[in-house]
Amino acid sequence: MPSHPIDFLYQRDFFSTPEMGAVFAEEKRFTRWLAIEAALAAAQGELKIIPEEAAREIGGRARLEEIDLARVAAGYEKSRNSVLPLVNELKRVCGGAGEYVHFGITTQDLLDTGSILEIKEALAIIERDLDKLKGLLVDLSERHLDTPMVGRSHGQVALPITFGFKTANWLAEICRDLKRLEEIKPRLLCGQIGGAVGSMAALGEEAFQVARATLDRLGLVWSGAPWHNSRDRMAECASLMAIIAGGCERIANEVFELCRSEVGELAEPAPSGARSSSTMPHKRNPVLSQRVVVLSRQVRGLSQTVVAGMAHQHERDGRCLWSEMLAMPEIFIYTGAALNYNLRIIEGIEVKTERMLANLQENRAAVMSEWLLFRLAGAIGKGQAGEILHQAYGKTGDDMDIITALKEIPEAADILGDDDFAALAAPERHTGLCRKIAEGIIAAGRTIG
Amino acid sequence: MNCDKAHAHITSSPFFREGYTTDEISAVFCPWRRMARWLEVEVALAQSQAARGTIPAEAAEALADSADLSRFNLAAISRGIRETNHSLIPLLDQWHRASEAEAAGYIHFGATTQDIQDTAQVLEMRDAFAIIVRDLDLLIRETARLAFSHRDTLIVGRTHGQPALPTTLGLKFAVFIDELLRHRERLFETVSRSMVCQLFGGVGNMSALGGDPQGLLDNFAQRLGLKVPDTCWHSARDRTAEITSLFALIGGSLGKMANEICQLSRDEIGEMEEPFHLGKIGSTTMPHKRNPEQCEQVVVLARLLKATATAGLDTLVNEHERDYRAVRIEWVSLSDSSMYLGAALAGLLRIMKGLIVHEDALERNMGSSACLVGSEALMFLIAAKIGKKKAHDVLYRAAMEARETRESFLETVVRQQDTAGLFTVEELRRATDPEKHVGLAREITERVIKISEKLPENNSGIELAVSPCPFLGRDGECAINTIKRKG
Repeated sequence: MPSHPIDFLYQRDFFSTPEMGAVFAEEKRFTRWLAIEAALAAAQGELKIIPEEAAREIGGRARLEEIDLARVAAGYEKSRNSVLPLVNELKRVCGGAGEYVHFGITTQDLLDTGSILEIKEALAIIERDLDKLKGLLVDLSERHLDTPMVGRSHGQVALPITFGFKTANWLAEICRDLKRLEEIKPRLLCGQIGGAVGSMAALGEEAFQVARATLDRLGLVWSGAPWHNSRDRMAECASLMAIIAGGCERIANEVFELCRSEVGELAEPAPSGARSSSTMPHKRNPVLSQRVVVLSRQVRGLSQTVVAGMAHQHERDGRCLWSEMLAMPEIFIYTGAALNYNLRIIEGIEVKTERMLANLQENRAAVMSEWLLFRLAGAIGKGQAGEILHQAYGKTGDDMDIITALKEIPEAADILGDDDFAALAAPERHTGLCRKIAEGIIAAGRTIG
Repeated sequence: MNCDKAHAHITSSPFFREGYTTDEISAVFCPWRRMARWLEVEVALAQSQAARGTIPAEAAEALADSADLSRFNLAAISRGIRETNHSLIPLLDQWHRASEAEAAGYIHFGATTQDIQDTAQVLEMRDAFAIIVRDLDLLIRETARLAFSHRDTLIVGRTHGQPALPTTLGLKFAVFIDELLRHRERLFETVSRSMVCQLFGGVGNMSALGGDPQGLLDNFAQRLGLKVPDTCWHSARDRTAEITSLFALIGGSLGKMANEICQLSRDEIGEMEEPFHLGKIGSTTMPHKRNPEQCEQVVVLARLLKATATAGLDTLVNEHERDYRAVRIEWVSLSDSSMYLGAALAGLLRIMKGLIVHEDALERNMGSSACLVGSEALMFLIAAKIGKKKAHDVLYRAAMEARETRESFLETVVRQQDTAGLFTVEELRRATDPEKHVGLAREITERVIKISEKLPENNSGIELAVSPCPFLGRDGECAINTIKRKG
């Protein structure tokens, strides 16, 4: 029975998606390794390093259907090498051509190139979903360009903003993440053909051509220097996933906070027929957003393990490599799941615009303090204006609102007229440049990706 | 109690700070300069507002004149911060007092505290980046020098901590360089994205920044040599999280390099040694010790950088429009990361400049494992006659047998059934000559060195130069110290 939540059969895909899980499936890993052996043989055949006939034979046999997986499993029971049992089985099914399988490369060449192919697929999913999230946020921001709400700092009421402005700021971060992905790809997506210590000694004089031609067939570039012990690419990738997951966490966490019954400005998409609580019938818990927070925290922790793996010793070092092998699949699976949940949240989010307005109105005295300060400052300077307001806000309470309090202070009453008091009563009209800023981000968001 | 705790953090220790920072990078994060930067940003704001006609030009001029921390009552600022629990207002109060009444009304006009502090923090980090990029370039150059002089020096290549194949010391260094070059690329990308100003007001909607806030923002950014962000980033800390993550990555590479030197200087290997001078003491009780402590310290810093990056990633989760639970982490994560990385770069640079390579040990170790590290070459030689799979079997059997019997590996090989009569020991010995089996090590090394000779220009759009300390007098005396002495 599966014992890791990623693989659970009944509580399926709480913390994973079938699509991302499939990228890291064991048999797909084997398929990639076979494809690399085939590409290597084809390149070496073309360069006449191995007989062309052998290359053809290897190319034809390097498919999972040709492989006896029971033999491979038996091999792994005895061997401590990560790829040899599979490579030996390929050699066996290739018959005489088996001699030329895995010709001049090292185990880690296969492992690393396989990982990069895997990461390439995983990154494509992450990028596609980030792009979708971008699209959803563009639409959501556009719909709520003029939806006023309370802006908060330190968890306290601050000034009026719009909901579209809030979501546009999420959008701006997603756009930066897309840019980061674009920058990391050319650096990250290169294969590994270096031989046992990176000197390419067993690849012959045409080693550079072999490396280039092999990786070209696999859709990867050759880095020009071995990187068996340079794990900066993997560590950068893991760190970037932590940053992307952290961005998802910020969004989900905000949804969670604004879903609190006392705030009530957002609600997660309603679950279809499912119940949130086993004992409290009234509950509608923000379950999806909590899952995103949890997933992101996992990614954050795991990314550390990969950064620790940079401490590679000598030419190759299993102590570092294998911790990467454990961490990278989870990092992608959790980041993928976090993104997927965010897509579901944003797609179906319920925006309670009336409650937003009500919360704003309820706090209108507070949220208009900055406007008042500058209104008075225009007449009597910022220092004195501040003192008057300090006095006025001190008077407000259950039985006195800010307008009455101001009218009782002669210096304020002299300056402020009916228009001002009307403005004070309509904080929703004082959202500064929320609309303009949000429109700028939306326009920029449309042009990238 | 009259006790000065100013030196509690290891980076301020009068004894041990060199292991954790450099005086140059510490000076970037000096608390007085931090306040001075806040003032510098406030002045830039006033000047931009004057330029856009939001406040009178005379007021901006007067404010620029009065914004001089060395004339403020520093004790009152410190007291005020404790009393108000506000990080900026007590400084502004002092500035208020030092300014003409009319001009004082335009202090901090429409900005929020975080606008000022974030922008100043970016200026701080710009200085840190300038130092880091400069020292990274020096390290690349130094490593390239070593790679070039050792392009043909043979060394045992090791995997899993065991001898593997011969390689060259030059290639080992070239792989270091290749990694550092990618960091340089990353640094410019991060600089380009993160060196942006912040001027958006209390909740980021620019509501109190006058009639043309965008024009003001552009003017403000240009004045400070920073980029203009598309929107506020008070609660979007992906930029700073990226910085600390990147510093951890660079630290990881420096730690790896230092650790390699550490490992190769074990007495049993003895191929390398960090710079040594008579007078350097290894142990209180073992007078013979020559410990690789400079290298060890770089590893320490790499680990601290990794830990600090985790704190840095925690800043990503912000609530609402501004959230100090996230932002205030940066007061530790950014400054500590910068200091640790500064020290790691400076430390490794010293090590590489004076690195001692013991060629005799390299030769000795290669000699004693020549047969083992020649196994791949042997396999290809034998494979030509009996096929690769059989060759691998023969060599595996012979190697295991020779290990047990402690007889000569090559003699054991020629005795094997499948190879009997096909080869002489002398033929095999020639084939295992390590010199002949370093593959393309030299070519790869030369290629990397060539790339490192033409480092790409800074394409980040941000000029990187360390700004001079405003308090440092010609006599090397700190103006703030002078005030503090006078009380």
